[in-house]
Amino acid sequence: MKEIYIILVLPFIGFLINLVFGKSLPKIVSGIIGTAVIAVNFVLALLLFFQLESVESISTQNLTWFSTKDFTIHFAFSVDHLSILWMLFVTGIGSLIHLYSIGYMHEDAGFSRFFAYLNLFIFFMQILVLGNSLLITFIGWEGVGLCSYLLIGFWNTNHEYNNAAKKAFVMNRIGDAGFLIACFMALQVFGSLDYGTMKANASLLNEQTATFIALFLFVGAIGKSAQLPLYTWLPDAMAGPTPVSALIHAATMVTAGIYLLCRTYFIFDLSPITMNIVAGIGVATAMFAATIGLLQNDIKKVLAYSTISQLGLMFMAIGLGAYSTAVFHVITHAFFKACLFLGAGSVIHSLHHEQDIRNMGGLKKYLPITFVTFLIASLAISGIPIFAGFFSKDEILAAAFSHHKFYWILASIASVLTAFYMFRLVFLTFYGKLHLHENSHHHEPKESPFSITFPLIVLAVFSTIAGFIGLPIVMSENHWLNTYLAKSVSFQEHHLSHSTEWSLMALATGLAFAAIAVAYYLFVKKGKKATDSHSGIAKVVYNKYYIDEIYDTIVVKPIMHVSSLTTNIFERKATSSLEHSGSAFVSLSNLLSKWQTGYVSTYLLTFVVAIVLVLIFIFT
Amino acid sequence: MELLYILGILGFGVVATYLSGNKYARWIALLFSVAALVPVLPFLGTTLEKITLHYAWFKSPKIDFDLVLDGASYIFVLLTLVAVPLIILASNIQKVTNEKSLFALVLLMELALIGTFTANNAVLFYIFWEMALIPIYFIALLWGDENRKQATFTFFLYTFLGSLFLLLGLIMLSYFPEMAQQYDTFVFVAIFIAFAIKIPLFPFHSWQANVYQSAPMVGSMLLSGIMLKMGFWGMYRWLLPTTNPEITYCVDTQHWIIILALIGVLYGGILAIMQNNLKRLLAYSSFSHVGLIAIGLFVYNSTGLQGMFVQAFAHGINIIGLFYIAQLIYNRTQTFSIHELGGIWQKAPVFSAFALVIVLASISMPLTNAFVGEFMLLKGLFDVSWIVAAIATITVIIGAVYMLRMYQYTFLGKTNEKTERFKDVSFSELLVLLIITIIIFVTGLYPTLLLQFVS
Repeated sequence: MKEIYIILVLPFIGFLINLVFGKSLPKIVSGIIGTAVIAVNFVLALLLFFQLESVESISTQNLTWFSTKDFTIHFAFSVDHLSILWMLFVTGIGSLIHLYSIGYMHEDAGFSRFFAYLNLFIFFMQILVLGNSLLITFIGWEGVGLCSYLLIGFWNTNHEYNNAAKKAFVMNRIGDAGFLIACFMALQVFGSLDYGTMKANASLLNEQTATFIALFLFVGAIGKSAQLPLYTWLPDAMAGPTPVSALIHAATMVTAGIYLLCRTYFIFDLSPITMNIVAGIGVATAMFAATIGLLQNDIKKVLAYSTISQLGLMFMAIGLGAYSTAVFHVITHAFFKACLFLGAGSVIHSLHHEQDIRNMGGLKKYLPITFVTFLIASLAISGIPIFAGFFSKDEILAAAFSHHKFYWILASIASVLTAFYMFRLVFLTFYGKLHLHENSHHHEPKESPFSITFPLIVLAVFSTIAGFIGLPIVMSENHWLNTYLAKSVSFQEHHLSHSTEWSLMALATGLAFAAIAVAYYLFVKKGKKATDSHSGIAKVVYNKYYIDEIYDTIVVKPIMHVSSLTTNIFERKATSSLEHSGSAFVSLSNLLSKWQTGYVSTYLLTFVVAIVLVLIFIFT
Repeated sequence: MELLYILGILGFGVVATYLSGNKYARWIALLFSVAALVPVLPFLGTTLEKITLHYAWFKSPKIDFDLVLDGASYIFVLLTLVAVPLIILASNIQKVTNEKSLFALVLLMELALIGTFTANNAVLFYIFWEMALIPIYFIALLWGDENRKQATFTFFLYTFLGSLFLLLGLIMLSYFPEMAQQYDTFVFVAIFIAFAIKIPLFPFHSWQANVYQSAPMVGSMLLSGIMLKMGFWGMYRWLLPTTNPEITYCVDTQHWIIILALIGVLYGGILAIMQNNLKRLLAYSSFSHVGLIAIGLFVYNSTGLQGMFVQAFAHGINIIGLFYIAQLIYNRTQTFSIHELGGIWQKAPVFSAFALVIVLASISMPLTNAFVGEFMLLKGLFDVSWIVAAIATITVIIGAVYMLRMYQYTFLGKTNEKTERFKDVSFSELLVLLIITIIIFVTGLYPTLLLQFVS
């Protein structure tokens, strides 16, 4: 129990130290403090993990936050099998990314501010995960959104970056509004937002109320986890420094939506309609984002669309009732996607802030460690056997297959596309010849320092082995993760024969290899280049289906027009007509002032007369 | 006894401030306003029973000098007693002429506000209500900017109209009960309008933006921070309990008022999105916020009502903070136009950080003071109608849009010729921002401090 309090407080202390004293501390001290608090938290999370061998959950005391006649909201935190997994990878990957940032940000003037924000992010993320009631989770939920805002706009002299930050915050707030509405309904039904109380009283829900709460919670998840139709902030969020993209916009914060749905699975389980919607939006997002990823030229944007797509697959799994499968993919994805982003960051770092893959190529020999780790992570996300992504993705596909072939087909296509665009990225970046931008520095790119390569290596190792926590039944007797989560989420056994499962695996693997082979043929053998001139459907896809433009035209611009219009017409008219009536009074009073002295008394008289007239009018 | 101390201190303070001369008036006023806060502080953390102050006054018609401080009025009294010293301290950044009169008026207004929030009979309430109007009228008229005359005139028209309605309604209720019963709709509407103008609720808001914009900072703070709460208090204490319950509590009335207030919530927010003048933007954002607070009165459940009290307190503190930020920026750049600003963060990180906290509080981030109130208000509304509550929840999105837009154009981006020499906050400025920030987090983390008075 003590560990929970320490875990919660430490990152906040780190935040305060870096915020208040950061400027006067040497950069290295600032960075070490920021990293150390998270690393200590990882150790504490491990301790909790071992304590949870014997008990189901560990909770802190309930402190009242606020209460009314109808309900009380507690500051209550708890760790169980579900939340400890999140805690482990949030603090584990978090400390690696902090360490990475020491190297990556060392030249930045806002170094200590960066670490302050990162620590604050971890603080809120832990509140989100450890909160024992919907509203405490909501504190973290909005808090991580704030940190995301601050970090996307970290280089805040850039207008575009600031726009991206604002967009992320506002789109998240749309989701947050949904989250709040779900809270209101849950409060009305349960009289409490504590997860334990709600779960125990789940029988109070009928299908209608369950659907209501689940749908609005899902709206919140759509915003935070960048699903259709609220995903457009995430690609723009790549404006933030790369460690931020890795930590917040790939590994941790964006998975909060999955976490929320798992936490409240007992509500979702009661609403088959919502589950279908979740699965539908999930698979649609997975497909949609994967197609956009095919043609992007910004290394981080490709990864961003890939994240959206992978999150879509996780939501699909949840929609199909396979919660622990979704969690499995969250964990493996956290490793390989963090590895990919950090690898991309290493590339960007060595090329002096070049992000366009058209200006890359042949980096294999200059950045060997970055290349190998990036390759491993790409193999993992593509679903190549023994790498972590293979097992989790295979489980999702199996769940889809047993549920409905339609889901399976779409998810498989998304996976094939993923393998293709990831290796398009690998080949265009690391193979072929280096195309440096004309006016860039002419010296050769150098491998990044140890503080950057070390996290890459660790993440690559986990991208390889993390899949073993969920070996499929056909390979081992015990699926460790499913067993571990059995008490935290519901579990649907899918009924596939061993031969079907083997053949699904073989098929998926074959397709992934085929996609990689095609990418190799196109981008290495034929030497095809990335381009920005497309025609026909490719042009539409390259321009991300013009979704941003459509939103701009049908939502943003109209609101701004309405705002200007109301200001200029209604408000100004109303004011000026009042002023006219005012000046009418003035001329009247001027007239009256011939036999009256002072102005105010004249107004008063005029007024009294007017009021009397009004009253006569009303009463007769 | 505490009430007598407060009124005595303030009354004496008015005289002392005026006599102290322009050089010391501000500090004398600060001293007295802080002294007036002291008697109520011991009640924090307790459940206040009831404190009365009663003297016979007129025999016929019987009007007593009768004041009551109970849990509900305590919140508004506390807000007044906390906010006025804060405003006086903050006023240090805007030097004006004839300070002795200005600060004497501020204390006089504080006195009248305390009277309004504690008056226990209608006539006394009306006297204090009107008494509060006079100082703010002169503050806005004498110390405002070049548009002050027009703005103050509109303001005067509106509030005077409201006051007449109020007087009529109260007289009918107090002395002509049969007539009040006969014309019960009129009585309700008259009193409602009087308070709705003060808050202001849609569509009685046209005076507000102009006055907030043209009044001196002290005036804008007094108006938005404390004085509009007289409207909430009036509705809570004088409109709802005294009018005919068949009209007040019927579904039609409730729906009409909620819909009007809700229109104001969204309309004010939309207006704020494209505003270029910082003070005007704050005026519209305040207009949007107070609509939601008023809804808390008319959902007729305890959650909404408690939310109203908590949020009224939070709004008072936050809007004072926001006007303070606006004035600080004006002092250094000579402009309120957000398009002429930008890059302040580069030059004044400490100021920008505090400004961010206050901006976030005003958009109800959890753990800041405005979150709990907003949550309770929306929950209270949700219990009446989930659809209306869902529409009202859009305000959390709109609020983020206009506040972050303001923050972006003002604080972020590149510096320009107006902001390139922007100085970070001085010690006394830091003190004001720090006090506001502390109140934001204390009442945000421990709202029970306020809630226990209205449980």
